[in-house]
Amino acid sequence: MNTNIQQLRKQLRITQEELADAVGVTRQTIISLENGRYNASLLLAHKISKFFGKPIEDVFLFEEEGV
Amino acid sequence: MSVQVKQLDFRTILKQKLVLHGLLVLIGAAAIVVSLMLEGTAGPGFEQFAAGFLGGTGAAIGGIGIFAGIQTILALSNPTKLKKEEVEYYDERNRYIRNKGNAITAMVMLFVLYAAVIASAFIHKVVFFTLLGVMLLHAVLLAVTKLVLKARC
Repeated sequence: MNTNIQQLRKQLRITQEELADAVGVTRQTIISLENGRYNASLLLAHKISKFFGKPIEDVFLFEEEGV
Repeated sequence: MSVQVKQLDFRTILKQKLVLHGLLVLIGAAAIVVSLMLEGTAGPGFEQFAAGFLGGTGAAIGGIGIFAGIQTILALSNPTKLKKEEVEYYDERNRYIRNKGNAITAMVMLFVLYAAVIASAFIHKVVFFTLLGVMLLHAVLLAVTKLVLKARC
């Protein structure tokens, strides 16, 4: 899944480490989310969206399959 | 209806792990003692092999227990290390990797055992039935685990 995490993080000048600490995951998880290699759980997606103060669909770009 | 899973305090988890590491050390020590006892009475055949095997694996298991125990004690006494280990333990990607790794290993093991059962049919009857028993036990455990998890989630 594609995300806007990297763009939002850079806008706020926050490092991956800082974001990881804020949402309680490792830096590797943030890297994987930014690269689209790992899909966040609903709980983590909620935490990250809350951290950026954005709706979940502005941070995580859901693509409907088979449409 | 949602399933509420009570999350244990990480310190408690580490203390439980410490008990497990202590058990590893005890098992390792017991294996070494048995190997020394066998060594005294060992003939040239199976007993000698068993003594060597138990001595080697006992030392390895005991060593792992001691090393892991020291790591756990260090984590419990250092708040920064404790926090880092807690984040790594609960990190959802790490959990996903652990779960997927375990599931894949369990399935691969089943196929490896099946191949070994086929090969052993040409070698020895006892080996064949032993491997067949292990394979069936493994398959039953996999099925039961899946059923229990399905009922709970």
